[in-house]
Amino acid sequence: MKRYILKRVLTGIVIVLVSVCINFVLIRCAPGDPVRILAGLDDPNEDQIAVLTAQYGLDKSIPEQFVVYIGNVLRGDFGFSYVNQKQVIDLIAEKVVPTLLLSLSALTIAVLGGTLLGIYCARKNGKLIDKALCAVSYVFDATPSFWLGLMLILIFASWLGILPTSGMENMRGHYTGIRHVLDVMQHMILPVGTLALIQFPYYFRIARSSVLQVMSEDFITTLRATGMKEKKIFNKYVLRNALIPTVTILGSSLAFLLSGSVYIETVFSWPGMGRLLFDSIGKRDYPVLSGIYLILAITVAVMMILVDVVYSLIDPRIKYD
Amino acid sequence: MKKKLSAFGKELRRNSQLRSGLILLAILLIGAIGAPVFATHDPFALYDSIRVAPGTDGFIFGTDALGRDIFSQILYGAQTSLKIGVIAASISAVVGTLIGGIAGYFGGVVDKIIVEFINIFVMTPSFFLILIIVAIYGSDIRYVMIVIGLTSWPSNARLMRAQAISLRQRTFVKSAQAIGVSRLSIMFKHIIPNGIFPIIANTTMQISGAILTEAGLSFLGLGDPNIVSWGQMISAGKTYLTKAPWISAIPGVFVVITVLTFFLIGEGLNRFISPKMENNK
Amino acid sequence: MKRFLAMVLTLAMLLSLAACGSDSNTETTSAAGNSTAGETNAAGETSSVDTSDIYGGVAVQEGGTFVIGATGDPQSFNPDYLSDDYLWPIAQNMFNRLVKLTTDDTVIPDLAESWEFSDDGLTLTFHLREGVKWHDGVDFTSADVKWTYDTIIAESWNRSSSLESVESIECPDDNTVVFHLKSADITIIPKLGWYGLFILPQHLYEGQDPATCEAATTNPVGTGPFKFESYETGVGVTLVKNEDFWGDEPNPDELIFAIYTDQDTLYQAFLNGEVDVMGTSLPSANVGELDNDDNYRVFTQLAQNRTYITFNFDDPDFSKVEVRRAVELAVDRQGIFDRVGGAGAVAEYYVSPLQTDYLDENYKIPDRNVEEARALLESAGYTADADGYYIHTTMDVFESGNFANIAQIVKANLAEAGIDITINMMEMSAWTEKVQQNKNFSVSMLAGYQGPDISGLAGRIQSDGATNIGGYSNERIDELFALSNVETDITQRAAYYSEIQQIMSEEVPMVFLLDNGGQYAFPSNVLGSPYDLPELAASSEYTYLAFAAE
Repeated sequence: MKRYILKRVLTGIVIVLVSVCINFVLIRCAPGDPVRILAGLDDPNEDQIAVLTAQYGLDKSIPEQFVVYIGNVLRGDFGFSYVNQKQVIDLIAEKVVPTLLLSLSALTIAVLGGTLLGIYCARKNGKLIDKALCAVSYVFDATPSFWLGLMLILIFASWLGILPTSGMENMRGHYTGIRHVLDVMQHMILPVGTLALIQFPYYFRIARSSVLQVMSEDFITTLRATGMKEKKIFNKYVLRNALIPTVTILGSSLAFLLSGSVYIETVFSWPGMGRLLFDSIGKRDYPVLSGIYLILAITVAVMMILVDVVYSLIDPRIKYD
Repeated sequence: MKKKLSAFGKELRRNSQLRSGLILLAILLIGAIGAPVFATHDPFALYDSIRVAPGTDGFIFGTDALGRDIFSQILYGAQTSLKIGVIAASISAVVGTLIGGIAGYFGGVVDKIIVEFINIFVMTPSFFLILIIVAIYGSDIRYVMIVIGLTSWPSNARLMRAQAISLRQRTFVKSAQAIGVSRLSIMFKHIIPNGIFPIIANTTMQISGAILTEAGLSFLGLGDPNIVSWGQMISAGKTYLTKAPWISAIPGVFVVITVLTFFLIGEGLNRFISPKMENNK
Repeated sequence: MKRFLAMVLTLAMLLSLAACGSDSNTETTSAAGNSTAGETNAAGETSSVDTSDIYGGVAVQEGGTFVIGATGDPQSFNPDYLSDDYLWPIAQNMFNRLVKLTTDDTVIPDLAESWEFSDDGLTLTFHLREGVKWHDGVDFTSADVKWTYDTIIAESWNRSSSLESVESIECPDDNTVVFHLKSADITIIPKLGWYGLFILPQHLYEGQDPATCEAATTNPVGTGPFKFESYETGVGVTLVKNEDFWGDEPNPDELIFAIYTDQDTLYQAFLNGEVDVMGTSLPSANVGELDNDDNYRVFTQLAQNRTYITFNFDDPDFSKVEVRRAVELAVDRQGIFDRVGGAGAVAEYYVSPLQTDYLDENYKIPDRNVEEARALLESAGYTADADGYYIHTTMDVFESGNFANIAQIVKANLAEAGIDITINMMEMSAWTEKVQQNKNFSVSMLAGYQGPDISGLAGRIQSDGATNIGGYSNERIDELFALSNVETDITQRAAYYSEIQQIMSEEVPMVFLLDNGGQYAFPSNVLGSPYDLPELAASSEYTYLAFAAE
């Protein structure tokens, strides 16, 4: 087990390095010059462009820049954002909180709701409620998140006027304490709702089909034959085994939540990582792009290892060399 | 052949997802191929009725902010969506099948390297890669299809690898090896044809994914302006959400229907392949 | 002295503030009538507007919190270091310059009470206001002014070009600043009231990093009517009233700049009452919809800002005047205006309609005529291919405002005349490299400020013009610009410009589509906006904002 984890950690590091390198080259080879964008379209100040290009080290060759970058990262320096004029690590720290707030809330709702409904439907297999929920899950699975967001804004903010259109808090209110929390929560309803609706089908179907599958396995039939109560069989044996796939998927989806956040943050003017990434691409804010990418790659790697560990704890049958 | 057909017919009667998926697909195909016939207007022409509601002035779904007919754009947009979905997913299928097939059948060091390579890809959030490439290198629809295809193959490769590993133990493969058939031709003649079915089901699902990705890119302003696309229509209507909600709402409904179609077919095919899920009705 | 004054007046008309005009986020609202800019103020008279009646006799509430829409995070709180459109409206309320450029483009005193040129025009002396304090209580002195300008020049900060005529600056005492100029330059006065020349506190900035020091990030300090209170990334910036402000007492207790990265969302928030002041012009899709609404007061302003199609003069097709004329005849300018024109106007002439002194009505852009366009293409030797097209080309367009929509309309228009256009939508950064720097394009689209003086046009069509990206060159035009720039007689100047318009109408260096404008809306109970007080407030300055009494 220890050897296995060590091996996974090492490959993880290699993979992170390779993907960061690809990303680094990809962005820096792209047309467009961040300093020129800072200087503006009309009448750029060529003197300032020269000064800033040298100051940001952009006059060096790409391999040189890469070596410098990796060196800095190893020393804990993630670089300086040209556009935001602050340390990348501070910038990401600021933006990651709103994104996590949004995506973790949505994920929690989607996983809990989806799994519970999935288990419920598995027990009602074939009944009308099962069929209806399955159909609903297919539809939401097929819905683009940004479109759903727009439609919810249209209905709840514009037509009914009961929820705020966007943003994270009511600036005018100057709320503190519990009022502030409630205010933020009110602003979260639409974006979190959109994300949760889009994600729940996934967990719903996995829970439903794994419960069905476990119930059809031989050992369950054997248990039934021993006269064990159906409820006990379900709670003790079916659930435990049926949840394994959900856990596996949870790890990887957590890391990919950020992808979905680009759309949701765009639609709802939510000040998070997704928007930061998208804006940074447009402005060629290299250090920010590399920083986000690096952190993302590390997160994914760590998640995958964690999932393996959790997996082995849930299911002791799994052995690692 | 006849026997196969009747088996298929039987499957269709049992498999409601496959059935409804195929019916929807037929409707979509008729709409897309018949677009020039069914379209009431030129989808690119600018009419004087600007932003009129559905049903006004002979515009079935109304017009958008530039005065283009939404109904005709929906029909032509179906062509775009189907094309993007099918081509991107096919690229993914071909690349995935080849890489997975080689890894699984050849095994050994080749397999180890390929598996790590697949891991790198799986760990790379492909959406960011797509976003960066399209944002930076241009939104030509051909790039979009290729990039989506080239970032979504790992799942196919994993499926094919598993298939190849189990198939290479089978008698017909072993006997082909025994009589000296080359490894490459065994792969193409026996391994891939016999292991392709899960890939087909997965590829159908990926068509949905590709259509959603293209719609998303268009929504972020990264669509190809020279074609009609539902994603761009949703994006263009965003500005007029309260004044003319139909501009965004209608194309969105069609994205949902189309994506749903391929989900249903994919799920239906999956059920067909793994009868163990039989009770999973 | 008389001769110098004449020169002063002429130069005042020639202020070239073109630089920042096209930056979309702080729409410049320069309107007509610039000929008076600087005229009354060259001598530095103190303004004498009666502030007791600024609300037109309407009773207003004292104080209040105003939420102002912003479309992005400021890069830093140093208003002089980089070009930063998101900081501009905030800076306008926190900092001061020596002079203030009001919404109607006149120059009034700000930190400088008065100023005068020496007879030879080479020395410019500013007399500073006394008793001004920085927000942290430290006295403001002439040393701050000298330090700010010296640093901007020495470190090539964003607007160092505005000070290029400055030889040296000295401070004979705490309240006097003397500029020694390399050559007489009256345009320096309005420039001092423009971008990137806010006076910064030397005691907080000296020896610090201009973008990351405390004064530029967590604790900015100015001399303006509002003090920095707090900033939350992505959410907003809060300013509070400066109780010790040296000028007219600010009315609002608090200004909150709330960030909405999307203009449409911001507009929704404005309509829902979450935001009191839009902070930007209405999205062009929504122009006009508040015109007859009693709940809002709407200001519509046409700007000297035109959208046009520009050509690469090295392109085999578009170097031919027949082809450019065909494009001009084929585009449906009225159709573009009807669909995406917003608060602007259909482009009718070769210069901005706001240039009433110089516009020659004899040279009008011809009406749409697709048949004539086709005939011109055939006369130029083109034959239609199987699809009916004479020319296939690509138009490179960057993402900005209504450009994507205009490109779609132009594409449809030109298709009718047999010119097939493939639109290449690009990000601005990629466009800048491909089109502006590498000249690798055939047709493109631009918009931008070309005022306040008529000579603002020069940058776009003169051979070495900064925004003449297609390389159009006409010797006579260059000569006419040179002549008109030293001509003091308006009639003669108009004659030069008439000839320029004539050449433009013959050679079609660009195809004008729209005159751009902006519509600015305020809830009807919000008074004292910069548009209500064009002679008193600078753009985005909210010192006088007030809610009408209930």
